[in-house]
Amino acid sequence: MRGELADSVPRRGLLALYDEALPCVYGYLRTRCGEQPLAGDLTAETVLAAVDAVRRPNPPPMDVPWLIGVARHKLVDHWRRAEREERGLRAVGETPPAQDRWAEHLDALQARATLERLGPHHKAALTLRYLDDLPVPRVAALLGRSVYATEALLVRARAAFRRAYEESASGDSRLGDASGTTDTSGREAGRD
Amino acid sequence: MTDPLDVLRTPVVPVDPDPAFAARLRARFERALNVPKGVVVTQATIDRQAATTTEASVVS
Repeated sequence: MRGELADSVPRRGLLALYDEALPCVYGYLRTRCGEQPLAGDLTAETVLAAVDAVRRPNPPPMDVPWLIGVARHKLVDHWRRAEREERGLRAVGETPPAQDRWAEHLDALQARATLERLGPHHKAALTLRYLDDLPVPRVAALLGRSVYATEALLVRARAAFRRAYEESASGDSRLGDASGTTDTSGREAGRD
Repeated sequence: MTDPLDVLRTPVVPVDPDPAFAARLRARFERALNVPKGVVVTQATIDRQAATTTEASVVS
């Protein structure tokens, strides 16, 4: 059994790659999924997916950037699952996107906290576009959407982000909940 | 004009997970390398215990 892999792939190199890549993969996921246990789960999924990939014919070049790419796919898969689970809970009505003109400077910490409060679809789009700094066509490919649909999603995501950011910044009493937990149910508007 | 959401940009910063989690996952990784061809290792269950204890310090 062991020989089947050892014949084609230097296993010592893979273990060295694991040691080198684990903090990068975990760090990537930890700063994007917000939950420590989830980051661990997705890291494990990434590592095992790498094993599957290396056992296929013509395996990809195994390096840290490739593993970050696998981790990104695992994160998108997670958001898809979360989106499906939340879909049933979503309010029917949608708030039309606010006009996408926004010139003010944002507080980085508050912006990250705001992102955490958004729904999975919006969080996915904004994370890939802004945290990962990917061009729209790459975001579209990762989300399995057309570029046009992705641009529209980003407009809605930005509008939802702006509303949430402004509400938290002003301590909007309409929320009636200083903890912000209200927003994670139906309050976050403009979802897809 | 810059995009205000550019403030979200986050480079990949290595973070060491809990050492026990890292060791468990490394052992799984080694075992997975040994399973026969044709077996898809990602169908194995994920260890939910994960990195729930202490995260090691950020390595920048």
